[in-house]
Amino acid sequence: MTEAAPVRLPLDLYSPEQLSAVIIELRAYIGSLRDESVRAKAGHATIAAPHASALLLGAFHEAGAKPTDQPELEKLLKQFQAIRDKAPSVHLMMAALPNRELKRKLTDWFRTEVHPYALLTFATRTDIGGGFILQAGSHIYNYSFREQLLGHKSRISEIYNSVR
Amino acid sequence: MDSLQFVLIIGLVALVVINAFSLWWAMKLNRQLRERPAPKVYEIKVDAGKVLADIDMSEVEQLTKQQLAKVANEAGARFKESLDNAVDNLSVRISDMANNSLVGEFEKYQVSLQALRDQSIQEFSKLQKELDERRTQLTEHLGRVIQQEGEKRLGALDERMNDVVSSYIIESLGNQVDLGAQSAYIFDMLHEHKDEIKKDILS
Repeated sequence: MTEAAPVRLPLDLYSPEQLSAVIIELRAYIGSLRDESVRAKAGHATIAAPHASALLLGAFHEAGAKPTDQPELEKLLKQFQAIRDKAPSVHLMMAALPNRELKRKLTDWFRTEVHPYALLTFATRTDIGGGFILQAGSHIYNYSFREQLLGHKSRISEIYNSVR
Repeated sequence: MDSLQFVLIIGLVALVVINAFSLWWAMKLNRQLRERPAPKVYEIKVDAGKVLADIDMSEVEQLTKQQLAKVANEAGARFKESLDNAVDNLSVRISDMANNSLVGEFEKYQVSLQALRDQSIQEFSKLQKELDERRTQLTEHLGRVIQQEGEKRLGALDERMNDVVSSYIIESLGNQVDLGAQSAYIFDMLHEHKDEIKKDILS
């Protein structure tokens, strides 16, 4: 028995909440698929794939799994559950909620540079002006515009005096 | 001044005493002269008519009176001269005493005045020194108070700086934040601190 290739997560699946939702949906999907399989066997018909969300379909696609291959999907479910338990989580705060494209870029960067299963959560803080604040575990990296300004308080008074 | 008055009064009293003594002495001499025992009278019977036949008795009496007056005058002159000398000596002595006392008192006064002046100078110097020290202390204290107040106000400004900057950013940017324009900065920061972030995430 060969070792299965490591599954890839789609870039649109970036947060722990999404992964949990996908796991729940996949579990329901597998149940529906099992029922459908029984019905198909009884009626000698082909198995029709149950309805799935775009996110789940994207996960199937990224993992190379066929939507009607129940054993493979069960294996995928176990892999997702394992990822959910072990995947590192990163919390990002920005001045505004990033759009899908930026989220995908950020997710791709973290999965390429840090960990292939890195999961991200996003939050907004309008008072930081720009940049971002990253929380990884108990450590916080503050690269916001506000922090940059406050880091040079003396320059503010110097500039103020020179302008006045 | 009290000593001078005292000396003058003593002098005047001494003068009065001397005058009284002189008068008393003159009266005593006069009384002694009067009380001198009468010369022995030898009864010599001379026949005046025979001895002083040629001398007028009245002329003798007159001559005797003149001699007596002359002696009295000479005694009075000598007494007067003695009295004058005594008065002069007494005046000189009194003057000397007064001068000596005055000079002494004046010297004492000068010494006292000098001492008082020295003491005053010392007191003023001490006072000046205390004033200088006090002024220095006050100046230093004022400087410290000003510095503390400045630091306090700077601290308050620093504490408020967060609110000021936050308020300024919110008012300036509002909802006009363009994360797309910031993405380059965001990825630059991520690349720059990749190792630290990776270490913290994976730990």
